[in-house]
Amino acid sequence: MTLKTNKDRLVRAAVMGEVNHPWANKTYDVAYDGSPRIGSGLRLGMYGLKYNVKVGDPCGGWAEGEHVEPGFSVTNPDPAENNALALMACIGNEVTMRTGDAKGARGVVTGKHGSILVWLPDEDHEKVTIGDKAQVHAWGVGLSINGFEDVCVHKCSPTLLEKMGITVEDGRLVVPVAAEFPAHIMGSGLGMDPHTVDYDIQSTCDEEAETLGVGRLRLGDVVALRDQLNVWGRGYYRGAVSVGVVVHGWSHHMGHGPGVNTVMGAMPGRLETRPDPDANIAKLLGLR
Amino acid sequence: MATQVVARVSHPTLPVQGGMTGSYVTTWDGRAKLGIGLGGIKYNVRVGSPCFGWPAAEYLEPGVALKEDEGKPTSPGYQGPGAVATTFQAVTCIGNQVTVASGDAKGATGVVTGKGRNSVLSHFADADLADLSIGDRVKVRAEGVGLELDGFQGAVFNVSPTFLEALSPDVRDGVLTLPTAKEVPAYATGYGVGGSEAQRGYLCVQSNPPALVQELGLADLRIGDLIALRDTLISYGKGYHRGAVTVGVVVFGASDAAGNGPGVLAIAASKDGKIKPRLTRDANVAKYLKLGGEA
Repeated sequence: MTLKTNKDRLVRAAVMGEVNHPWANKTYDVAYDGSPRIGSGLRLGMYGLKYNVKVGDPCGGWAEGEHVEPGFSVTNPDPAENNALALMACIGNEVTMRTGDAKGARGVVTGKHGSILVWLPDEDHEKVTIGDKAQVHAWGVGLSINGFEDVCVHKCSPTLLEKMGITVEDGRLVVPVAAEFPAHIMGSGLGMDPHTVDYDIQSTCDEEAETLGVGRLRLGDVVALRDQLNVWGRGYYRGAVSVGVVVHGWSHHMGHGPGVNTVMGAMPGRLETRPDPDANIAKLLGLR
Repeated sequence: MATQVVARVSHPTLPVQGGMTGSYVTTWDGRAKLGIGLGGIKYNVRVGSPCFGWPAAEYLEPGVALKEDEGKPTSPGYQGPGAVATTFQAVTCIGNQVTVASGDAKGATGVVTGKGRNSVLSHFADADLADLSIGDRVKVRAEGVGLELDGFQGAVFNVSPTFLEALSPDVRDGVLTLPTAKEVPAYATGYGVGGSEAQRGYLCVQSNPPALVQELGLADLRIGDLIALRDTLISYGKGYHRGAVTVGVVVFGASDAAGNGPGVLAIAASKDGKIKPRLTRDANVAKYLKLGGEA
């Protein structure tokens, strides 16, 4: 069955940003084990444009990679406008390149880290120049599911929500997910705002990351977070379930790791999961 | 090495969420709350005061919050604006002596009791509190960076030698025993996970929803309490590490914002669990610094 939502009542608006440049203010940064790492100092893989990392690729294994973001990253140089871009752009929103050699090319928002993360088809991606303007058809703020208005939907376009394979069984939403994680492994971003920023599945305790399968995650995976409530902020709540999309890769900074933009936050008894190894937005949105 | 750092008595500020502006905090259950307690001088909140039960309080910092006036601390090693503020926060330690260097309270002495949100927290006698003005200059005799405990392989930080001695630390077979009032599991740590090195910043123990507070037995938690964090390692950063134990001091009060709560400043950490917390109900900074009062 198709979920019924209020998507026809949502404001559709344009927000814009520019493909940004990588930046650094130090050479080395101290990793979780006390070792200096150059990739962590300059945040190798954050910001800018990656030629060989796209949504659907592995989270980890990139040499010296730190919070690796797939595709390219877009911010607005005006801080207040950037806040609006961050709040309004939702995963699955259409992006149109407005300047440069890739002008007219169309892609998709795949997440929000420090920047809005954008996927374009390979042939268009190659043409993008840092500084090009990308406009997002922002559609999703205020989205709710009929009969489940108490389940907080955020950072999620109606397009993505409808393609996630969600069903309703016994009065609960059932969401296909690629992996699940317990509360204690959630790290940087706790206590912050789910509408604007992701939070991390910690990859800095080797044994625990191995036990929980953090290393198997792929960029774009749909995951469930147990005992985590993402509604009015985010934190521990026994029995609550949050569902999110993995937006960036591995980290060596203590308490950091693959980042999750939550797209749904539900109180106990309102949302269940179903294991599905194909639950990745690259597949759901037809990007690969 | 003992060195001098200087700062000023700070002005209160309102908490800001998500880098935005606005007066209200959104609570975990969707209420708008005007939260006071960050920064400035508190006349009736001190180390030893309860974390919970203060109306309209968020991140309630005890005593006198000191800040270096070059602004918000930034990365260590960075020499631009904020470098002095970073240093001030990184080198001060619990137990360090604070001396007022200007204003009506000039010459009065207090003591460092913790580090708050971009601040260093201090305790002064009531008579001196009455004479202090926001903006008064203070100097701190900073001493404690580099401190080590014989026989203990883990790290000790943010404590002066005298304060550490007052805790009667006991090292046997490489295991450090420290008094602690509470223990907190990793799933209850919140904002601050992923934060900077142990000498700066804080790690919140989540103080909502109420069921969690009850489950953890934290309702009587006090500012200044020593607590043990299980499976949490604070050293080169803050995060989960299976089997690790970190002991810290509760530096400020509760929060109603999801994932937030009393802040903890680490004083000792062991990656492989070589710290044994000794349950001591009155394990509080006020007791070990002999500050009197209810503690």
